[in-house]
Amino acid sequence: MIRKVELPALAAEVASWRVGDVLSLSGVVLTARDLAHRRILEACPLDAGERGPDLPFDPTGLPIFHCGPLARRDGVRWTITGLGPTTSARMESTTPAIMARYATPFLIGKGGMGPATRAALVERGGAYLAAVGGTGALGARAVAEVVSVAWLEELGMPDAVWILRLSEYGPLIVTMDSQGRDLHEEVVCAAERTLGNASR
Amino acid sequence: MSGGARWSDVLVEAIRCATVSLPPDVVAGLRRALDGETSDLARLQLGTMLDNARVARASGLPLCQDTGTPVFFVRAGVESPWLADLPGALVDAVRAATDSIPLRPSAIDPFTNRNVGNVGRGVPVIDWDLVPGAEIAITYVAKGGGSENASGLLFVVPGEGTAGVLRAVLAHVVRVAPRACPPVIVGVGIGGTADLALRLAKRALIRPLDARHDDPAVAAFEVELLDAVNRSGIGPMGLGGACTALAVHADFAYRHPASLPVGVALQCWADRRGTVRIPASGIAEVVE
Repeated sequence: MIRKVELPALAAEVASWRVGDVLSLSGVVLTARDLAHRRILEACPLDAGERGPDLPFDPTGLPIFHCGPLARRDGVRWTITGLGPTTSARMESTTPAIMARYATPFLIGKGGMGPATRAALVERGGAYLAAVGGTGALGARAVAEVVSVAWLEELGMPDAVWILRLSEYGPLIVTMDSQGRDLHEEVVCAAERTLGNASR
Repeated sequence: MSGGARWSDVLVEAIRCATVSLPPDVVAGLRRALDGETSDLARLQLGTMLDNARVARASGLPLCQDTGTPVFFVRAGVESPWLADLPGALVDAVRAATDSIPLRPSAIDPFTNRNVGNVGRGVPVIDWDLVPGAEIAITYVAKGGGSENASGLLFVVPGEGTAGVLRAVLAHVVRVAPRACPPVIVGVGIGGTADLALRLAKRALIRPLDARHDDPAVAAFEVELLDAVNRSGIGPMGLGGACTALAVHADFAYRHPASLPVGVALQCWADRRGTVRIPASGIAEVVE
């Protein structure tokens, strides 16, 4: 039932993922949340040409994971002791520009995104994968390697950008796909219809 | 020896237990929810939550990477000889737990965005409830950001009564629950002033899942609202299913003639809590 995906995934493969598919991921992803999104856009506005000089990492082609991990440092080595999704909707206003600028193939988070990201996923053949919130212990065990961390001093542990190599991280559920389907929106609309019917 | 130094190990142990170990009533609630689901995605996610609870407990890893804003609900006996030592002891315990478990630094200055750890202005949050007697009971709750963002303060027209309260809370919960890591626990504070309504909602969250309110009318409200929330079909993580909430806990205070404030507080399924009792002797123990 869980399809194992090796990263980087081919664009055609990501575009073929459909709402309801369940995946696990092995490979490199980048974590970013509110402050990191703003900082990435400040350093590299959409019309600034190639990768801007100020970014200490290259987000090009990496999936973005909405996550503020829990990590422990032993000497120079980092161990992730908690990994899971944060609420993605907070990144709605900054996501389409980042996806366009850095060819972001897909997103991982929880709770879904809004209409602008939905349109960007259709346009770019992307997808949004929902992780199960609150399952940080399972997530920690799926981290094979901390590749690097940036902006740790300035932004703090949760808001820093962590580049992580994952090993069979999942289950991840495709909830927004390249065809414009959005399971989050469908469930809320159905719930509101149910409530509307009940109050009549 | 001051009370603070004496209780430090016990308070840190309560925080550690809460961080890595899901309370038995919540585990039972998730199992019941799993039994009641027919949707594959709902079953997959509830199963993953239960797997995570097992792994966290066995490995000592935190249940969730968001180890939360530390909140202490203190029922403080006014005759306890230890009241003066308590605020400092709670702050020290959060500092020690942050280093030893470790907890994620999650206290950020809103003006500078500097992350200072888990102790800062106003944090840990300490809610004081002065009660008769000489005993202190402290319940620690790790309050995740996603569920906190789902809080609400609603003002219902008093003429609409508790039926209006139920409709307003239901509409709010259905709108915000998908982002609060459902199945959630819903706290509802009805009446009082705006701040009191929210405080009652927050305090209601720490009741055991199956404990209904003493007042039969309030208990009936809890049952009716829980049923309505679960009929919405929002389901685990908002992806559809039969269980959106594990419990509804309500409480109330008398209202002004013109006003019917309603506070709503949500807690995610990873409901991390633990209670420490400090009797007059000063010998503290973890009680749950």
